[in-house]
Amino acid sequence: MSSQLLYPSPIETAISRIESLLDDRLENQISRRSIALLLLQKDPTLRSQLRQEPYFPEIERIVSETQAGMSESLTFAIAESRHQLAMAIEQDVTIQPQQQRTFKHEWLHQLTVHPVTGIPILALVLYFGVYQFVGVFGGGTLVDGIEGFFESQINPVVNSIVAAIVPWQVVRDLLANDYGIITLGIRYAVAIVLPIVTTFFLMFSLLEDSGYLPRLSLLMDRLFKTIGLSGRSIIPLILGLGCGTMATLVTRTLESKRERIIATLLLALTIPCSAQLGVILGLLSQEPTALLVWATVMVAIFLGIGFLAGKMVPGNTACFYMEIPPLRLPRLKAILTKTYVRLKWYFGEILPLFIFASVLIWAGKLTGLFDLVVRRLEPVMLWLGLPKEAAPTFLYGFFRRDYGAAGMFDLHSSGILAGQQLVVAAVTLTLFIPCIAQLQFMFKERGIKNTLAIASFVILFAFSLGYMLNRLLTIMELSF
Amino acid sequence: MFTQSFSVYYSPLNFLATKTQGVITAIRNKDEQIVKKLLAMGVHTGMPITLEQRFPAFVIRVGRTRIAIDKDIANSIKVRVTTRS
Amino acid sequence: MDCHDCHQSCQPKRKNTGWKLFGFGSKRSVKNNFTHSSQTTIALVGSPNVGKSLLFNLLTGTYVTVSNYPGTTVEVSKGNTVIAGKKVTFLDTPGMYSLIPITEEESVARDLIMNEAVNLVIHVVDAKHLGRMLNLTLQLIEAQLPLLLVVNMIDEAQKLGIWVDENQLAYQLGIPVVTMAAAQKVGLKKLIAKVADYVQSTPLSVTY
Ligand SMILES: Nc1nc2c(ncn2[C@@H]2O[C@H](COP(=O)(O)OP(=O)(O)OP(=O)(O)O)[C@@H](O)[C@H]2O)c(=O)[nH]1
Ligand SMILES: [Mg+2]
Repeated sequence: MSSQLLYPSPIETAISRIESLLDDRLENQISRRSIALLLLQKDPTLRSQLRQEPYFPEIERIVSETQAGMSESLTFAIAESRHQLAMAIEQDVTIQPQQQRTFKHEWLHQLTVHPVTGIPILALVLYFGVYQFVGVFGGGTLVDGIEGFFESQINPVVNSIVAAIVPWQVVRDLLANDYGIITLGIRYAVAIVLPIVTTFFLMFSLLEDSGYLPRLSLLMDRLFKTIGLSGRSIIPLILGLGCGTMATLVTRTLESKRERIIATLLLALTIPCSAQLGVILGLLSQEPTALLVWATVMVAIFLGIGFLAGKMVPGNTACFYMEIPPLRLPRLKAILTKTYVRLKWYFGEILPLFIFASVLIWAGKLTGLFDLVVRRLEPVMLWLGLPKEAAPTFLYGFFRRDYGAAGMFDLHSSGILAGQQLVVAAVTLTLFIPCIAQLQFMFKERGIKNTLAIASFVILFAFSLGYMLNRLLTIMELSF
Repeated sequence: MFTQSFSVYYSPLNFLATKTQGVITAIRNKDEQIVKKLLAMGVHTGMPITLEQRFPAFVIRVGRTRIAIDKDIANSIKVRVTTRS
Repeated sequence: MDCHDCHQSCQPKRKNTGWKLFGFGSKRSVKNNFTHSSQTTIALVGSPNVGKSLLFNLLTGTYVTVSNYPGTTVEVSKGNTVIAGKKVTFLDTPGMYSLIPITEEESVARDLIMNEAVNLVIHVVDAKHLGRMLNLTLQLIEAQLPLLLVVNMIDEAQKLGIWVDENQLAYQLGIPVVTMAAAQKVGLKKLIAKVADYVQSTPLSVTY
């Protein structure tokens, strides 16, 4: 090795002293020199690993002695030596232009991050990317088309074929008719969820690959600080619009436990998944006031709950730092591959569940359990000012957010939900329950205590808010 | 007078105007983690730095790296101003 | 980033109870290859957003999420391929800036190289930020891990007028170095050849 990295002599001395203390039992892949250096930088993992060892106090002494003899922090001194060598090597092995050059598309970066131009650009992205493409096109045009095709072409054929070959009504109901695996489970997945999720993932991949998201983080940091988060959290939250389950996993990139808890709560409560978002945008786009009420309520809750959570969850305000990579032109193949892989994953997740739900409903109907639970839910529906036919939809929502959303679409098409009720149902369904899959991930990432606390809060909050919203809308006599 | 001219030449980053260029002279924060973070991202004393933007977040350019930081972190970077434009 | 990434999740320390609990979507079995004797394990490490996952996809023919922002990968993914007639397992890791971890996913990568039987570490850096990223290279050299340096994104560096002398860098550091542009597959053959050199030259008893 031609470029040996040597630290200032007090540090080198400390390294050799610590090295000689470390015993052979240490099950590490890395050299003692490295371990000594990490200890000098007070690495928490390594310290807790070695805490029990008899020589640990001795190490502590060496570290604090060495620190006492230096004017700057050890971490700093160590990093500085490395940095010097690294820069020297870079100088040696690269040819660089006299004047630092920038990319040709530098101006575009400036537009996206300057508040005067950045906020309008964000509004455009939301309007065209989310509202027009995912909501109106995916959740409206595509869903109506495919759904209509299912209702008019596939379901009748399936019903009659099943009726022809299966003699028992019980089995017929399992496969076809109102709650059948094919006519309900598969239809929900293919006709309602698929188009919305596809359009969402396409749009999201485009945002991800272009490098827009770090710029968005930067724009939102100030706002997010008021709700106890940092700009960094925008990425899991936006991903949550695709699927809260994935997003809960991604909260790992957040720095503090506090930030992770707040983000998980907001994901569970206020962020609709893409299927919900698409169905709601699609349905409400015909009634602008309704859409406005829904959006306002959701944003208000997001900020309000965020603000309260920021006050209540212990810990310090998160700090924000993020490297901003260059904007890159997304490659079509990369976007398509990514969308395809995500869809495959998503459907791997939901298809079995949707089918399982159909079976469950079928079994519930057979035993009368389904009707029992639905009847229990009916007063709650009436309390929210909803028709009692909405009860099964809420039951579906417990399973999967997207399943509940699909149920809402069905209710609307059959003319049961309209106007104020649609708004109340949309708000309550968006708020209430992170679906089973998301609960699993919350459990895995945040632990049982946090999960239970968040879940019970979410359910209680959703129904109380739905109730109040219904009351408020009635008093205000808003008509949709 | 003295304090004023002092702040021009050796100042926390968050007191500087947009487009100021300078050299990092120190990185100090009560939270050691933040210092570690900045060091790991290549923000070292002696590096040339440009303040590109102040609002809604601070955007700095250190060498060829562009980093967004909040006010608290900006405050921990001390800069000797070299040019203003 | 996404859950589909962890279909071959390989964090032996962390139990995947969440999935098993409900039994959905957990058909995928987690194979533990570390004990297999004629096998090489290679970890891709480096700062966030330097192209580790893209390179992983190219090397193994599988897909993990590639995105243009730091912090895309949060879990270790495993992928197998055959190089020089030997089975090689690649590990894609979350980005880390330094051996001292800052966020949760950074410690994942560090724990992996500190505690697992990894035969070779490929450190991926961005040619545009060579000086800054060599910090970690120096730390990895200090740790005496078997190391190969990939200087990625030379296409972008060239647009900024930066040229990296591969041989000079290899000489200075005393480790093999490959310059490449993963997005254009430039230099991929060279990298595979270097890995093949390594696979053939090492007796496989190394770290077991
Ligand atoms: N121009 C160019 N872009 C590249 C190259 N390699 C990777 N990229 C892009 O760089 C971005 C980051 O790539 P990833 O593979 O996700 O990076 P990573 O190192 O896995 O990042 P983390 O998971 O966040 O640690 C993506 O947008 C890639 O398309 C390259 O050689 N040239
Ligand atoms: Mg990655």
